[in-house]
Amino acid sequence: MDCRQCGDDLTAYLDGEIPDSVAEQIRRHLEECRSCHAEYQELRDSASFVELHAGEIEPAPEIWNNLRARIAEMPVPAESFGYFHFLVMNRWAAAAVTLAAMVVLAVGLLGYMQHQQSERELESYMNEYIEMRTIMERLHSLQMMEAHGDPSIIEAIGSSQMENPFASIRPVSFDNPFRTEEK
Amino acid sequence: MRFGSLRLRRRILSRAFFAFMLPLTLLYLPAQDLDLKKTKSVAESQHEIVIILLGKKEFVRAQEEANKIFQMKWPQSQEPVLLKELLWFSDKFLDSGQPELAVRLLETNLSTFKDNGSKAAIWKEKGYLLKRMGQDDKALDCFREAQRLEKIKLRP
Repeated sequence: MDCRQCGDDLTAYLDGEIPDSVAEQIRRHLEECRSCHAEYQELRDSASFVELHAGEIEPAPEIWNNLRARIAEMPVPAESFGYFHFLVMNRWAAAAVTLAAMVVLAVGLLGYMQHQQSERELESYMNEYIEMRTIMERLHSLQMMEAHGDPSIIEAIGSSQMENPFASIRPVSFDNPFRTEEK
Repeated sequence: MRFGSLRLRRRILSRAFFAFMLPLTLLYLPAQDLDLKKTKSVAESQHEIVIILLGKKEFVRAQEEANKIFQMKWPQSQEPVLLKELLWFSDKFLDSGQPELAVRLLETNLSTFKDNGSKAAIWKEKGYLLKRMGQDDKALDCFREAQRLEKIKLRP
């Protein structure tokens, strides 16, 4: 180890903050080098002095007073509120902005609730139609089975040839609507 | 006196109007009736052609032939019959496992219909077909349009 390296690590060595192997090298160098040893002694003395007198040094009351006076004389920096600085200065502006924000929020909420309501209505409107069409399709398939002579359907229908009293939906059997002559 | 003369003038005008319009109307109506009869006769044949093509499973041709019915010159009074026909064909295409063709049929012939109620019925049917095809978002849009048209129809 040379003097430069030793000088760099001396404070850390004194505080016991370096690995043992490096500490051993420094210790050996200090035994051999007079100037480094002197520097080490100086550092150690200073450290012991500070340790011994720490807490005993109390600044004089005049220092405190001067310090307070100087702080009081210093200009107070304006508080920064960014874009909303004017709100701090003007209460009316703050109230107006708060009111506007509340109105916007209320309108938004109302719009959202209306949108939700219309979506629900649309869904029930759609489901109603789909339900009706599903029934019609089932009816169609039953009619097809009947047309193809499925015995279970024929038996279910039996001999009752009553006209359907609820015949308001699209007819299952459909004659040519443009027929001009009687069959 | 002045009031009396105004009434007289109105009476003369209304009589003159009827004197001219009645013969014209009487001439026009049978002609119109004849046109409708011809159109219906052609449509009747087209309908049968579509049924035959559906039976032969020639679906694309069936759809093209069906379109011809709606492209004919129909008076407004026939719109309910045409709507019934369109929805029935759409049903037939769906039954035959051709929902895409049913949708195309409805889309092609939507512009034929002037009544908002008829248009709404077509949009609903299209929505139903799209829902069956698993295109839920598009189906919802169709039902939204149908609902909008029905609201317009109901508005006094």
